[in-house]
Amino acid sequence: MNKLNGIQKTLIALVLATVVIAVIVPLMFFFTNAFSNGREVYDYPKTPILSFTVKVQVSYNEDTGMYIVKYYDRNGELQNAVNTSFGEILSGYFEQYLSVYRTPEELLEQFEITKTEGPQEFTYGKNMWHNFKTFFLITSKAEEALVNSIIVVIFTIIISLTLGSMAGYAFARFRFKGKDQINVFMLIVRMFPMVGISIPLAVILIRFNLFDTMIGLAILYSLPNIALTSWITSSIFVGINRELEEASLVFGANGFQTFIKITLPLALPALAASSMYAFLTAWNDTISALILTNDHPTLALAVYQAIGDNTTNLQYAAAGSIILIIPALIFTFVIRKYVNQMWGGVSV
Amino acid sequence: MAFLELVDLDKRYTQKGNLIVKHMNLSIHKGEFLVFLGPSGCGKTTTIRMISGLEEISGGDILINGKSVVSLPPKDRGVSMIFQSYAVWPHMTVRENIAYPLRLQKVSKKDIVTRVEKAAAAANIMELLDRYPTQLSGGQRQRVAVARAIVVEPQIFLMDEPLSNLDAMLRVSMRSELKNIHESLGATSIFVTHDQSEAMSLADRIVIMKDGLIEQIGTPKDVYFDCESIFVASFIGVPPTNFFHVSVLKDDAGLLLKSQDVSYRVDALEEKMLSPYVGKEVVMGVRPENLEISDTFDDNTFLTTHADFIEPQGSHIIVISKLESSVIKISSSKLELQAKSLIHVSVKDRKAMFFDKDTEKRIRLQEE
Repeated sequence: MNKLNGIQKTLIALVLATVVIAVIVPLMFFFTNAFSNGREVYDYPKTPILSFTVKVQVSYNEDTGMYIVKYYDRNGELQNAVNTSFGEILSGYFEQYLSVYRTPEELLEQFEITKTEGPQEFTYGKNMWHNFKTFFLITSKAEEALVNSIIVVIFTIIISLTLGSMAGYAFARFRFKGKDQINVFMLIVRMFPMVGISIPLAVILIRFNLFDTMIGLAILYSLPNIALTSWITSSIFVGINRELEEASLVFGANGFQTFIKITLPLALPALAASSMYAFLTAWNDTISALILTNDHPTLALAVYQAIGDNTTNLQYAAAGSIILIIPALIFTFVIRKYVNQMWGGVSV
Repeated sequence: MAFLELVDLDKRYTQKGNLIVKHMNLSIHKGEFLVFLGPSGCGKTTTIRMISGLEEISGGDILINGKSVVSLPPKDRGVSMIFQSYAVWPHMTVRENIAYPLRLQKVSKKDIVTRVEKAAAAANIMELLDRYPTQLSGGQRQRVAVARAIVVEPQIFLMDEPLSNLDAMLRVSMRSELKNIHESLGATSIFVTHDQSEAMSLADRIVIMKDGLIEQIGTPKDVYFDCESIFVASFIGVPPTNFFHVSVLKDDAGLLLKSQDVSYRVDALEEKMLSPYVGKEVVMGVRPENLEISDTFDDNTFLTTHADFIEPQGSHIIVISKLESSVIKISSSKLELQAKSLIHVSVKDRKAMFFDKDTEKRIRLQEE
């Protein structure tokens, strides 16, 4: 092993720094935000570390008969929270701003001691899922949006994989006039921004009664992905030895059986990679969904709108974003197995 | 009655392209092991692909058991094939590979198990059944391909250069196994190769092809010793046949073949054959082992030259000698022969073949 020289060390340090600055730090802030309560979100300076508990100081004012509740912020300083004698208000405040779920009676009973013993400190466990619950509560049609997103993703994958892989097979296996030109044209489709296509497409979809439907949205998302799928799959189909298909034909299969049982499984990595692209396009898009839907938003659009509507409660939007990320992460990791397995392992 | 018959078979790949296979006529008997031999691009692979149905034919007919199969898809022709690349499906285990044709034929599960195991036993891969092809060596994959081919109990086995991707040792042992399997199954086999030693050792009959035409069909012995054309004589045999361009001269004693280097006195039988060529040139071909080296000059001496190089081959030596117009190679058992020494060469037992210079075909005795 050669020792790294100065330049290499510097480069590695730069790369690491970039990773930390560009990926890890924003991710950590994002995560802490998503799990912060309504008060922690506005801490400054912000600590990018999750907290699981809330510490409050409660004192009793005998003149007004009210409990004075103060909480410790992340820097350990006391901040004013609420002054009240009503259990309901206490409980409501704790739930909404501190993500602490306690019944009014429970709180009043606990605070009783401050009447005799003076100011006391209490530590409560945060309900970590408060933001997620609230996101679905305050965002109109959040559940529907989640279902919509799943539907549109499935449609997009089906449309772009069926058409794209068939085109890819044709490009790989057959010779026909204008093949190269069509190949380039398909690339050009990818060059158009989807927003540019969505406006004229909106008109077409209205004509066909497909406006504000998931199938209409899926058609839009499929446009660039059909081209991409055909590119990815054709390169894999080219690599599949023709004799593998011919053997299947000789040994009793017809053309369709051969495609299903031999060609398709061998092209699985390409299909997996393509479906990943299709998934991400459909799952993450907001702007086209904004144009092409009216009453039936997708999840990405719902989160986008949640951010717009809740400028004072950013933690809910962050929670929504986490909800948006998780399926994409799961899908990518499931698919990744196939992509790696085939592209690295099996030679076809 | 021929089992498989090719009638005026034509193949061209593009509408106006050249014929790759030209008016091929061939009859193959049941149980025969037929080898297509020829240089690359001679149409041998195309021919068996047409028989299998993977390639459309451009003209003529293919008959199996007297019935035309031209309009049938590959799966209905009762053929099975071993491919050059083995074509073992990498996403299935060996067992699934072998069972695939049976599954498609809707054979019952119990029968599949027994037939797969029988085929695997025949191909000697019982212990590999649950592995994936990527975990197998080239030779083992080849065996899987063989097992898959025999499990369907085909009427005709087609083998498209099945041994060309194996190393030399494995190739030799695999080819005797293939021959064994062929004999134990009593199937009809067609084997394509460009390796003449493979062809010689496997074939009942060899079909030698060149540029889409059949040059000669015959037993391995025939195509070696009784060549129909200059191409066959030069293609078969290592080292190849020595050719001499000689003029046919007539003198008092009969016919004499002469060139710058050689002279050959023609006997009565050969004289009958060569009499139409008096005054013309013919091509004379003599196998290296049919040239005999002697130390003394006599009446039979065909040519006199120096042994320029000697290549020892163990049991025999190859003597290489440069003549005025060509290089000859002589296979001899005179192991003590020194390089650069003067040698007198004669033709053993009149084993010379004569070819027409224009048609490049063998000159045969005309039937009266």
